[in-house]
Amino acid sequence: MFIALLWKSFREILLTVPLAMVVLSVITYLQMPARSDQVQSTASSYASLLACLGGAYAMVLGLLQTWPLRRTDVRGWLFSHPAPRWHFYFADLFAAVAAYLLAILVPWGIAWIWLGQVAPATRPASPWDLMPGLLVYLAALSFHPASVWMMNRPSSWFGSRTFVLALPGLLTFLAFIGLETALPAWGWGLVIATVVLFVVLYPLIAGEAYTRLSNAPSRVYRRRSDVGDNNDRPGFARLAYCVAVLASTAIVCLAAWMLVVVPLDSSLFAPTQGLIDDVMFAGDGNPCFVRKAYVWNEDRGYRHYETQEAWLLNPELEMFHEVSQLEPVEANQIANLKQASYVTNMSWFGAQPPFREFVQDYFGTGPGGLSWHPTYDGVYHAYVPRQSVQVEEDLLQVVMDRNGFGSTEAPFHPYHAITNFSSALESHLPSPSLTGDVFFLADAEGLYQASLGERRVETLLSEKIDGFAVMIDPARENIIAFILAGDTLRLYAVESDEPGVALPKRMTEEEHKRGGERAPWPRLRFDEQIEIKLPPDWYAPLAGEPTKQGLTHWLLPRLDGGWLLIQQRAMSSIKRLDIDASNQIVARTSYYLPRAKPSPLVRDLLVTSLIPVVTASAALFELAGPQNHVELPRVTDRVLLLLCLGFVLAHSLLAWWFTEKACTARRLSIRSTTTWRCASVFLGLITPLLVLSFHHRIASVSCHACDRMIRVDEPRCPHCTAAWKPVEHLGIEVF
Amino acid sequence: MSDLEPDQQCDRFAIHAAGLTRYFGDQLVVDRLDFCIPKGKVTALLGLNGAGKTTTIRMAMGLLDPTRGECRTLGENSRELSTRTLQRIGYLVEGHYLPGWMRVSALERFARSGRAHWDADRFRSLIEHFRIRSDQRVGRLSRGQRAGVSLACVLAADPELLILDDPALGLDPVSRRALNEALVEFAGGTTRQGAARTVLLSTHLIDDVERIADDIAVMIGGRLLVHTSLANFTTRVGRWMLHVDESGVSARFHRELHGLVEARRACGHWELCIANGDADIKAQIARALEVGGGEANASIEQMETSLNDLVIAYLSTEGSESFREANEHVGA
Amino acid sequence: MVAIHITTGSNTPIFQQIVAQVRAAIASGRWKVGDPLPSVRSLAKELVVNHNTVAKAYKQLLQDGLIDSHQGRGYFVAKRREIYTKAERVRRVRKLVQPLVSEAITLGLSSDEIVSLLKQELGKLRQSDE
Repeated sequence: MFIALLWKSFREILLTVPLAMVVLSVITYLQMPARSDQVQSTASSYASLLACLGGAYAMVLGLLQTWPLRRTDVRGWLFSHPAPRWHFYFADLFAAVAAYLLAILVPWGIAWIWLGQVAPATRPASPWDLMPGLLVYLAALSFHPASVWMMNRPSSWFGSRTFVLALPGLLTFLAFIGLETALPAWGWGLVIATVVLFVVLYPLIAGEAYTRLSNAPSRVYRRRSDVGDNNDRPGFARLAYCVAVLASTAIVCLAAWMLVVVPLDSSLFAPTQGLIDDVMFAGDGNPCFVRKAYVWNEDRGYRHYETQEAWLLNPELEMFHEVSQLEPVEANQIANLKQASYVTNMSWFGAQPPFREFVQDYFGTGPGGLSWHPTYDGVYHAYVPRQSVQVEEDLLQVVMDRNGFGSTEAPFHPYHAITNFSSALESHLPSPSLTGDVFFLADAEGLYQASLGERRVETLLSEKIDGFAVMIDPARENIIAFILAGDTLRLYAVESDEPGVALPKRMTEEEHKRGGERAPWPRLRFDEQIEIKLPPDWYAPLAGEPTKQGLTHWLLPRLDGGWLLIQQRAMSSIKRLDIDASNQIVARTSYYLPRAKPSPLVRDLLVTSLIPVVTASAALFELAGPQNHVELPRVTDRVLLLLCLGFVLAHSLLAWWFTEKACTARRLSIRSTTTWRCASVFLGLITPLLVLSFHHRIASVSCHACDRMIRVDEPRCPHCTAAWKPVEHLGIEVF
Repeated sequence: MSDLEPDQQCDRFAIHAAGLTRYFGDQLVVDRLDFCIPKGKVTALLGLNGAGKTTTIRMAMGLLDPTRGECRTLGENSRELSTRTLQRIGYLVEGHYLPGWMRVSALERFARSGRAHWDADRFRSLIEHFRIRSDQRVGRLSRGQRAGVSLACVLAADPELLILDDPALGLDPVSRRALNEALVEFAGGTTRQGAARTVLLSTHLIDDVERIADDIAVMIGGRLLVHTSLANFTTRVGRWMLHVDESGVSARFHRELHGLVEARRACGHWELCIANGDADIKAQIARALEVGGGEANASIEQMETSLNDLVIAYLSTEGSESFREANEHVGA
Repeated sequence: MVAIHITTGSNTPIFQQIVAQVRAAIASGRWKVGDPLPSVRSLAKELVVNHNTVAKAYKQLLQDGLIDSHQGRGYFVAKRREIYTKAERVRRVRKLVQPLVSEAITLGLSSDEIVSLLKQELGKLRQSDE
């Protein structure tokens, strides 16, 4: 019978397959990366389109299979065939999965094979770019069981019937996001586990709805009669069903909560809109906490971040001090504040989202007028612009790694070695020429010089590098390279290795503003000058700070010669190391940064009183967490805190009371009333609405014995345990 | 909920309902039904549209869960009928739905796939009886032919219990006769295992009932008022002619006369339909007339009746006041 | 074989219609003693009536001594047997004569006319007997 059912189910949706295949083929065709020297965002856009189309197609399949079953004659005809009810469902499911896969596999397979042949020779792409699309499409298949589930739910269309679509929506989105971002291993595990869990659970949930709920029982789960002779129903399907109901509820609640609170939050309270916090330095090297705004500059003719206010940091203040406790910098002095030079961090590299080969965020022309695209593996691919070669020619000119051109054995680490070097240059130094023959690279294991003409990569320095910066010594006007490796800071004199060719000079302010002229750099030589040992606790966090926070290093020349090495720990603290002209450490100072935002309590008082108590405590905990730079309120704030808690408590009590009312209105059993009451603590005022929408109203009549209202599906009166009154005879019965 | 004793009952009864009740929202569709369909009998279920016939049948087939009470079909709780039991049941839905895209031969393959027995000869002879070719597309068949194919699909499986939901609906007289012929032939035989065949059919055609049914069941407003053999029904219910003026048959009279199914004014006299009348029914009527304020010595004559008249008298009680009072009252 | 005709929707139950028609056929001599009757199933199929109804009619005919059943071979028209006493037979006929007479009187027929009508009917039966 199952084979026959499968055949029938498949035959009934067969017509949709060519249709879906055409649509998917068109989409796939349009999404293929074009012949180009630039990396295209194929993976993301293909995945997002397939998520939508896949979800829609899965839903169409589900509706096509379940909509006719709303007719009693169709149901009667089908289900009177001798087979367990689950077989009917699984036949539909398997047929739908087959149709769903059939529709994608043909266009997708062709695209895969084709892309494998043209990439990477004619475009920086790889067939793997198509993989996220396929996976997201598979995740969107969960819309099929969801729509079956939805169709078989007894709730009303205006009530909670469509709620269950939220879960596959979230699953698909989760899969999409998971494939877009470079998650840590546990994050990936979590995403995969969630998706797989529901992919496995969903058929059970939908099957439970299909086999049980479609019989329109008046209660979703009522006592079974003693003859449990139908053994084809997996018992844990019910458990899965309940889990899914809870999950959908949670999603809908979250969405509803966000709909109410987030706009309220942002419309009522927008204290730091458009402002960012930063650290700059006064002439004497004292760090200042500054607030910048993104403003239009008349002189320059473009928008940029301009310092609005500044305060001198005070090393004596404790963690979580307010800005108001700092001494402000006078307005006329603000323009003189200096930005320190960034020490390029070699341990930083963008993590690789799954299935991506080419790094996406690198555009523009590089050395030799080519587009240099690193792969996440650390191999550079250089492409010529499409216009400059014949149609049939390859665009890929050269592949390069540490060993040289044409090699892929020794990749750069991190992969953006060209950018590493140019970003390590002090802004007053011109970047390496884009058209020149020679260019430089820096990665965690050394510095390299590449010559495009000679097709040669030379290692200039081979040592471990954590941070790298190239600056001009203002006193001596020579160029110095700083290499930060572990607890040492090494200084190198950078010299020209070509006799008669000088190093490029410092640019004037004027030149710099014009964008700088990119004079060709000669071959370089790095002569070690001195090694400075950093203090042993240099990398240790200050008291009260969390350990795991991004560290950045900055360099600033001292007025009297020598350097300031600055370490910034997120927006939490600053460490300053004074190195004098003779390369001795002369001073060391630590500063806490002030609390970024003003006291959040008034705002949170309103916001948290809208959310239920458990979530509110979590939110408070979150707000009070060290990442947010917010200290638990001081004595003056305690009144506010109490008020806030009072509001939350009032909210919860109200939710409890309304839930109680809703349960009474639906005449739920004591057990489910208790469950919903507990839920109201977590979900708040939305709970009564959920009760009303999840439990459809069941008619009640008054008990003939105790006269209280009882639901008509009770086997006997729950109040007085009287059985139902037998039918009254009219006297005209003939039996 | 009254508990059924499965061991004793399942052998004698094909369908056994106890306190079977179904609500749709606030609407009471089937009201505390207690009935047993004995094996080997053809039972006709009569009732107006919306009387709850289809709902009862759907509950017996496990297509709809009862709000309360339970129904046993071939000894099994109808909420969880096993495949084995379903194999012993043939069910024809109202309107003879069949998937239109299938051909008759494909439909036969589909229908036989789950069955323990399949009588291909019977299938062929039945579709020939309805003048159908097996390569015809089901969607192109006439309603009568569709009924024939449905019936063939069901009867070829040699079921022990046949449930037909208004099989004659929309059929022309010829198809109807063919259907009746098939049913009579089917019900007269026994299954391959030698079990007597049971038929439950809901219908509006009393003439057909008279021909093919053993038992008659009448549902009014979700309740079962009659369930007995045809002969017993015509014996226990009688029609009487009463020559009194209009005022004689008052509301009071209605209340007084026990077993009054219907009182109808026709051609200058009253026609009474009375169930369960005792030997002295005339005196009883006279007494009721007197109490109701009418003439004591009106002439009372028994009338000849047909099954048609009696069933129609019953069906017209739906919606009467006394009937509504006895229903479960749904409160707000 | 004599055709039996069933009318539905009439005041007479189907089994009684069968009984009356078989009775008439035997009385008129169209069915002779020893003639086989159709089997219950085949008659039910022919008439499109429930086989229990046919069986009930045959049972009634058996009871009245009009037909015999031979185990395994079916039903046959029986030899006329006096299974009722004379008084009973008269009572049964009188039950039928009473409405006849009252109807005839109501319709204004004279006693002679009634008697001649009866004679006519008897004459017809005798004719078909010969």
